[in-house]
Amino acid sequence: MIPSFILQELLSGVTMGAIYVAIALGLTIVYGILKVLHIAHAGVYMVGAYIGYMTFLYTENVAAALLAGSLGAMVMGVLIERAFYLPMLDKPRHIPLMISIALFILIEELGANIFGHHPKGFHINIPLISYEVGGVVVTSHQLLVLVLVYSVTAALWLFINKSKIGLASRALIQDQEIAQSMGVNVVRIVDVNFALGSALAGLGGVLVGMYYASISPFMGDMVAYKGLVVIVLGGFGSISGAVLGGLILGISEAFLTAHFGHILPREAFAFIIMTVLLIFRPQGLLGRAE
Amino acid sequence: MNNVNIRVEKGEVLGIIGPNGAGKTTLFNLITGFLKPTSGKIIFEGREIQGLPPAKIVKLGIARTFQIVKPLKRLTVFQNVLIACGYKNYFGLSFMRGWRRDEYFRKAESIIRMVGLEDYAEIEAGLLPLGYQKRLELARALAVDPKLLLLDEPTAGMSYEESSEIKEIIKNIRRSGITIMLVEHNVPVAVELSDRMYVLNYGEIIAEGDPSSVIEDRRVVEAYLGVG
Amino acid sequence: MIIEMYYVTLFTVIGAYAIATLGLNITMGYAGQVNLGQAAFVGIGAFTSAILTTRLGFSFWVALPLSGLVAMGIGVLLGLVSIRLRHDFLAITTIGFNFIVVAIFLYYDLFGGSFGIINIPRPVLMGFKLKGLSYMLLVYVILAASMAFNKWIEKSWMGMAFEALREDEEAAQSMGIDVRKFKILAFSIGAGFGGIAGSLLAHFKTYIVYSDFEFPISIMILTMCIMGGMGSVYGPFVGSAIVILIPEIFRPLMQYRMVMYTVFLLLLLRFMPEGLVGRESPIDRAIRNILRREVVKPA
Repeated sequence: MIPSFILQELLSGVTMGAIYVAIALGLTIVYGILKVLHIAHAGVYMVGAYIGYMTFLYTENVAAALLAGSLGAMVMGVLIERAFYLPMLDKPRHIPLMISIALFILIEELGANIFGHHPKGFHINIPLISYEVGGVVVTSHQLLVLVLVYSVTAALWLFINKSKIGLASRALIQDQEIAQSMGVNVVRIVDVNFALGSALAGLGGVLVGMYYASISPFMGDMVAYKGLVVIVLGGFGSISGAVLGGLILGISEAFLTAHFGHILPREAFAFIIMTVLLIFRPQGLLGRAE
Repeated sequence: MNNVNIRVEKGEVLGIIGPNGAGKTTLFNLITGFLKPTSGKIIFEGREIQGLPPAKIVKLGIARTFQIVKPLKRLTVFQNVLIACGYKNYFGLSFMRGWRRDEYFRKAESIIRMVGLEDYAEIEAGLLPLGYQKRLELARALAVDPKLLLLDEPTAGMSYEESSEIKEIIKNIRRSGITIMLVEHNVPVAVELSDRMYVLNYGEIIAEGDPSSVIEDRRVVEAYLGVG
Repeated sequence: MIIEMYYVTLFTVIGAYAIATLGLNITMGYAGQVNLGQAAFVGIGAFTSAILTTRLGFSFWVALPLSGLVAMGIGVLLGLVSIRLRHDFLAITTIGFNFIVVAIFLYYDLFGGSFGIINIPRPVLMGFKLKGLSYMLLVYVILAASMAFNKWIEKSWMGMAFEALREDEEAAQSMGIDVRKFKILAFSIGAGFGGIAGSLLAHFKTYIVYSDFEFPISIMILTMCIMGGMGSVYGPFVGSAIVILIPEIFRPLMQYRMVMYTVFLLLLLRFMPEGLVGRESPIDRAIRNILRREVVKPA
């Protein structure tokens, strides 16, 4: 019998992992198609959270907040793609990366100047109920995160594997030249993927705000570089890898902080894992060696 | 690469031909240290060199050109060749020495003349047309004072006139006493330039010997026509 | 007098960051190795110098070179990583490096944790305490020496090897250049300048804390480097001066300082990734086009 405190940590790890998955899915899709490490994704996530928050203030409706946050993030993601990434694809690969980092800091700073530097409380009208199952406590808010993220992920997985545009995206990830010669409209596919990935980040942002009952202009910091860690863990451009990577990071962080206290902050842990992995297994945990 | 046993005699031009994917470029990458062999030996002047890093192999006297040209694009033709002329200075601590020395400038100039790029010495290498970039590859390889020169498809993608000029340059190099291994996709060019020839297919040698007799070999004809 | 001190402070900081930027310029501008964590090396130098002088009683004149050397040593580590990783993977590893180093500053008492280290002594030269104008002069003497060193690299075979490395690693190898060795050199020399700059900043401010060296500072140094133009000896100073002076000129917009940096950086990267005065920049190209017409006879 596994002690219940371990199950409890597992649950909190899986919930945090769900958020990482929501961020990393967008990143991994973008990387797969454009080969750009899209750090500004975390800015999109933060903006999504604020749009959700403001929508909630007006409507007091959780579903409307989630929807508005996702849509706002979607528009923003596509704008970034069109304005900054598509025109820079022929430059050395670190240039779009630096653009992305600059863009992320810019979004954060603008956010801080517009919304104020301090966190805002985000209290939803779903009562915080705790359920106890076999000695493990699950809250209604945890359930909201878990159910939404994993069902959206499943839907995305179906979309990519079954729909025409999903298959075309996969062709594009495999080989850009082949996809072009097959007459696939590349820009449109890139748009669709950016839209989906960004919507997911927006959704993640609103959910995190609701889960922690707080949002801040700097909430993207935590996920910006961890999203990278997740896609490195999972192997670049792989959906199942991103899910696995998000779960591994969420769970291992939950256990490490519970049992080893704070030797180093979480961010440093994540980066140490990533560096070691990049050096010894650059294709990721699930990826195949070239 | 499987069970390949190739011997190069001093001063000769050895041709290596074979269809696409036969392993010609892989062979060059193994000799020059860009790939490490899993087994087997590569012996140069009585010394085992397999697995040595590329820079070390250059110092021992083996130079190469690349099939897909690799000019230092934003540097001039002269700088490209000059960097290669300084090959001895990248070892130990002699990288601290300055490069503004007449001996290097004169050497770079004479090599640039040898490959016929003297009018383009101050042009950025990335702006040269492909044919001239191929000459630049040759110039850089010559600049490291090779005893053995590996040429990877020096005439690929060239017009008839361009390739006959390159052939003249290669013949001149040979006259200066440098041993040459030549990978060529274009069989007539290889036959014209080579003293001896090996034919590779699927990583194995299927024929060797005198160029004119090798291309008559039944297995060679079959390999090129894709039979068997 | 107060106004004077204001300019002295400003130009001391500009000089120190110009030295850190010169280092980044060697790693990125000459050798083409992406480093998005230069602030970590500035921090390593600053804390080395601060610990040596406040806890171990060393003189500034010993601590300054040692902080450069310690940063160089840690730069070797990053150089080793760069042998395995390229391009954007190297880039995110250097970001990670910055985070890890700052986390260590914050979590270990040796570095003063979240309080940092205070009372870092001012250097004393022949019984004379260097502060204000005299400290600024010291910074500029070291900046001049750093620029001379940079010039020397340009004239040495090491500079040639760096340029070859930046343009094409395989071609470089085919010309006898051991890319591993020169990558390690590029990272460690660049880190060394970062460390020296850190030491100079620490003894100028007399107080340092982990947050002075966080990732956004790396982005600021990167902006200076790209603004000045990579691969040019004077570029880092020009870049450092522009990046530090512009927010000062628009004082009321001080809270938008990071916004300004990133807008600069975005516009530069998007429309002229070669920078303002560096090699391949529009200005430089125009000059060379004129020269080329004279050098090259029509074929």
